[in-house]
Amino acid sequence: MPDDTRQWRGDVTLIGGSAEGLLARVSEVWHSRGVLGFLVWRDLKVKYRQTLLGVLWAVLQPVLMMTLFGIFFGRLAKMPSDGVPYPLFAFAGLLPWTFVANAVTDSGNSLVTNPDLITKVYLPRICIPLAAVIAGLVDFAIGLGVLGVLMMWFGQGVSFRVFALLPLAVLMTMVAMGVGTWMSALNVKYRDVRYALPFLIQLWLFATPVIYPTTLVPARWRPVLLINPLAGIVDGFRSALLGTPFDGHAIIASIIGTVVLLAMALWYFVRVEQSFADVV
Amino acid sequence: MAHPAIRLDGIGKQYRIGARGPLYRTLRDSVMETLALPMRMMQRGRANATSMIWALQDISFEVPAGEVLGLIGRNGAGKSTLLKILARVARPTCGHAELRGRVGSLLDIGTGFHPELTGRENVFLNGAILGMSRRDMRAKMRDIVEFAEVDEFMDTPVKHYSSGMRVRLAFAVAAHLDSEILLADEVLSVGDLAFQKKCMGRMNAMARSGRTVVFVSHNLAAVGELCSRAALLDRGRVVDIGRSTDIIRRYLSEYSSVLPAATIAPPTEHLGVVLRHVSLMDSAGRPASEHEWSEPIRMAVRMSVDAPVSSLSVGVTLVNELGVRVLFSWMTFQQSFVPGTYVMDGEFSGSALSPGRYTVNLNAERYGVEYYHVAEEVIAFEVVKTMGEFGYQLDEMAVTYARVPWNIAAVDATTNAGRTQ
Repeated sequence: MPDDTRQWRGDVTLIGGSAEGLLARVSEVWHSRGVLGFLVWRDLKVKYRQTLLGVLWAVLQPVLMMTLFGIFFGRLAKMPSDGVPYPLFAFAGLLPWTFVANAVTDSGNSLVTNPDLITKVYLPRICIPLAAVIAGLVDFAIGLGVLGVLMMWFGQGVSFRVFALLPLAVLMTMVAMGVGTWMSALNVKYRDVRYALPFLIQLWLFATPVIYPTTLVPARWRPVLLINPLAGIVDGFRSALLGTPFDGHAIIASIIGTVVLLAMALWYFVRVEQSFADVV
Repeated sequence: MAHPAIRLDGIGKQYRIGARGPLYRTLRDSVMETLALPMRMMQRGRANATSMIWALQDISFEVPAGEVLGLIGRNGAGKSTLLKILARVARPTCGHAELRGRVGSLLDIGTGFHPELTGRENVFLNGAILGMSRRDMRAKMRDIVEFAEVDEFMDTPVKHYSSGMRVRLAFAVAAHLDSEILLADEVLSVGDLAFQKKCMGRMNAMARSGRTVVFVSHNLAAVGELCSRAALLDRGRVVDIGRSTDIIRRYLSEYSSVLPAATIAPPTEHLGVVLRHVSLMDSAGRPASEHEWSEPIRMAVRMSVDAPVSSLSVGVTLVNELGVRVLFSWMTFQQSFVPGTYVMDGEFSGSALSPGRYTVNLNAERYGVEYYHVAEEVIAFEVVKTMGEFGYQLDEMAVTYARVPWNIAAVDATTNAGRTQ
């Protein structure tokens, strides 16, 4: 047998030192996509175990919200809705919003509720909050189906703009991943994040044009609204589904905002993840 | 020489220990501290600097491919921390390490098990988390199910399993992990006694299958049996590394107290009966840690019963310098115990033991059902032979000695006095 001192071709694991560059991390996550898949599968299995209840809940949540909003804001407060029926207007906004809110909550708590996955085994930790976000997409798809039914009910047609849904969904997922991973890491370090999170999400709801149309915001304040990357995305969803006016600037702001957010979140996550096992 | 499978170079791990309580903090604390900072700066420098301790320091060694290395040492010596670093669960503060080969780590069994999922689903999930491929798992599913003995429950949610079944299934998955390097922590101590035996057999097979294994255990006999080499850790440093029999001998002779009495460390989980204290006496009842070979050894074990128990079994195991369990004594008390303190005492015939040093393991259990408290290396004593009955060095003959009143009688002998001349 030849001397294999120099040509080891199997896996090599390096620990410590500067062996953990960003590129190495990305490839690591790619290599463990199997585990990521299994974590998503676990979340889904558990959630839809009692199939009826799981699906029903995914349908009920946005429908109830829509009904509530329809009564309070549509009927009572006479909220303008860019010329489409208010329930549709609300639902189209609630669709991405519900996804982001649930995904951020689930992934924000994912690390502290799965301490074994951190202290007992090694897998790229980022898989844990990412899996929670991805699992939420099934609820989103169900909600989209419900919206389709509602649109037929209201006799609302669709245009070619509906194809914009896919990139918008990608963008929405990226926002949820950014905030979710960030919150999950913060949650490990500061345990009261868990309690602050629902409150922050509520604030975020009001900073996003879900209940109200962007046109309700005075023009000079609109740039402030666009700091929130979700604002442009929610508007985009409405425009794609209901044909409300499309604001190119808002989308560009959203794309920039989302990329910056995700990059910062990942940077923070990678920086603090080393100490997770010592702390959890 | 080929590259070692594992190479550690100056690994150190520093932990913060706190007068501050838990390591995680709250945002509220951070905000308050920041606000209070100018105040404290005015008062006086850093009065309450956080203290750091080194859980591991300057760990450097190599493990050649195919070797089975045992890590031994007292609680808190850093064995588990070292294993966690190799498993990449914890990050070293300094130093680096290199592992060549696919690494599988078993720091615990059943990681990621979800009670709502069925046995089969959990096998897949747990396997994926441990790094098995889907194909591997399909191929091994049969073996795993067979090993775990939970055949008919594979499609039942794990929440309906008994704790024994869950543990068996979890170990079965771990036992079929097929990596080139295996890092295992105390996985032997699961299940009932029969299953433990099976686990031990499986570990043995894994150790002999040519892969590289690093194995942490309190069970010295297991280390002695499975490992060719061992490393002894003390207060975060490797104090010795070498043949496992030598290392175990050194550990037992240096790190267990040869005092006539000792307090037993409490169990991690209180399950009803806690062994508290053990003392050794000579036949006259005087405290003694050194016993003359032919003399009986008396032992008293004090224990507290926290909750009523209906039956109690106590086992005493004596382990010699090589880590071999040479003697086991066991008693079941079929009576109900109300909460309180109890003392069990009895006498060993000293002459059964060859001269040398013995370490005592105790366990209290409800026979075949559950352990209340397993306490290893609670005390040690010496058996010496100062008064000679005959000339053999006993320990050169065998590990135990049986005093048998042998008879001798002639069955066919010629009575010819002349022959003897």
